[in-house]
Amino acid sequence: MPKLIELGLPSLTPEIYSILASQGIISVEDFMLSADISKLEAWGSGTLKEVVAEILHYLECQRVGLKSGLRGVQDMQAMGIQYLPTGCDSLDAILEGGLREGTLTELVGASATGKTQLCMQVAASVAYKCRALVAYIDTCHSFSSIRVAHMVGTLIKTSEGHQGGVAADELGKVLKGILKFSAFDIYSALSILHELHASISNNFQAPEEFRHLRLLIVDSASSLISPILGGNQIQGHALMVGMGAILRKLAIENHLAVLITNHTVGGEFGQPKPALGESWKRIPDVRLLLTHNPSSNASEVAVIKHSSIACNKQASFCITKRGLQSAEAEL
Amino acid sequence: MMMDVREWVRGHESVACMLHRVLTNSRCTTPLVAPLQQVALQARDVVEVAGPSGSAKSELLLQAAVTCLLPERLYGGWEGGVLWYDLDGHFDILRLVCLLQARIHQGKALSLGGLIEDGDNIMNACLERFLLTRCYNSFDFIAALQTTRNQVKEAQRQGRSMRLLIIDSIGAFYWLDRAASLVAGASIESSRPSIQAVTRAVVRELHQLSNMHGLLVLASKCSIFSPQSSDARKDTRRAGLQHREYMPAEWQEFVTHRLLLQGPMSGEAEVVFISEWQMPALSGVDRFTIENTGLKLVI
Repeated sequence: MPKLIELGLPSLTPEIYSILASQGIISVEDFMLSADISKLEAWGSGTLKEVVAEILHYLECQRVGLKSGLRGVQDMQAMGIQYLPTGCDSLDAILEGGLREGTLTELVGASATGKTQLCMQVAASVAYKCRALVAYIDTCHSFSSIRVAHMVGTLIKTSEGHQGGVAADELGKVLKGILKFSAFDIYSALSILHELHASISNNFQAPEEFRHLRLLIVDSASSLISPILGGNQIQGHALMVGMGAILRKLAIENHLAVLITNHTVGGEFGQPKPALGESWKRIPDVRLLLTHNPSSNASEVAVIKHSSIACNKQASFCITKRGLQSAEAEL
Repeated sequence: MMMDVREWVRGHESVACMLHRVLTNSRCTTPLVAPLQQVALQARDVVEVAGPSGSAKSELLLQAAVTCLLPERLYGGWEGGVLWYDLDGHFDILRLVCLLQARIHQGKALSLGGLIEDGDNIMNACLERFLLTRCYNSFDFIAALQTTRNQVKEAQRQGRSMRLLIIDSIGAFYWLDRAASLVAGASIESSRPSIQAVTRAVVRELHQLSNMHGLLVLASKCSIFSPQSSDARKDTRRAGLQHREYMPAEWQEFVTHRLLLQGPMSGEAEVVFISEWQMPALSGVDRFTIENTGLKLVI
């Protein structure tokens, strides 16, 4: 953070500067940590008060500031609230529409419960039905473009109702909307995420590709974080919270729906619990638990955390050759 | 030396200011939400609502904010302003609007055909009293608190008095601050501030804001340790909801009241949460459910 003399404050005379320096306030950071503003304002002469007011004005310009609820509602109405369809009707029903833009959804499940299949289905569904761009960060080399092509093909056939083959160029147009990135460690993933955030936020310089980005998928977020997380070790936790922070920023500021996956670890009484520990729990808005039911060969999805819906709903889907099909949930 | 004597002689505020500050407490103090009703809270108290993730802390804070925003007549609210500091990034404006609509609708239904103001006007008036800001790290939070002073003074000049200051949630930057203090600076100048220094600054600003304007501070704190034994969770009637402190001492000393939450409880027909007062230590737990018109206590 800059030093006070670098800010070019008109009222900062050498006398005032020495008063502040005697208190240990040399940079803006020192001001934030040590300045007792009420005392400074009560004490000093008019010039000291002016300097304090100018520093506060500088801080105000650096950040967005307090916004009234009314303004927030007007902004929301201007942007429109969008629920992105997941491609699985039963899941859309329990989520009251689908994945909401501006929220972070986590899929938790043991191996082979259908997490990656569901991610690919959501990518296909959003790319086709919303004509939007999807960013897919693949960390475990499990993304299959052939499988996604099958899913898109099924969606096109069901919506347009023809039995024959799907036109290759139509398929190609939809598939071009799914941008795949590979990242195998947390640092490369963090740099991809920060670059995405920067290029979408810079409206004037946004490359054409990122203008209609609506969905970000990270499969799987836990494979990036688990290797660096060990016990109560501080750096690992800080990186994990940092990853959560950039995902949140992408969701809120760039208005994306973010979908991440997480695996499970053994918990008490043999019940599996989500990995990544207690500090990670507060980061997603919505947590969905996937379990595989071997008797019906269907995967069941239960809502285990939601910021505005009660957590007692379940849905079910089957993984077929043509993609994910909703099934009747067993109660 | 000269400064100290001058300060001592001049004092911090005149008696007129002090009386005005203290005596404006003839304001409405109905309980904001059901779980808070057992303890009489007043201005300048600091209530920490602690619990694991998903235990209805943010929902409790939001319902408290709604009660504070609503008019006193017909809706039993405080008709005061709310300052909401969103450190978690979880704030949902739609949920706030939904709760306000439900309460306004309920108030209208109960008024039995008396003089009813237009629901939209009430909604807009309430939303104008609600001020929100998002912070991404501790320094951003301190800057937000320092710049709030002028904005609150401006709001008061327009006749809106602030009653509630909400922080959701105070432990959001814990790991980031701890890691930042470990990083060895390249030069002597860049000595990283410790989490204690940062917390001290936050507490100082909050203290001054709440003192100056007579605000009640509500802060949620998410636990970062997994529950140790499962026995306490099975028997909900026995007191002893778990709470392991991790915030620095400066914050712990600032807190005057603490409410522990847990839930949702398994094996129940409805979705039920439990709350227990730790500071002041009261025996007995409350059980409540979440509805759009408020948190309802159940037996």
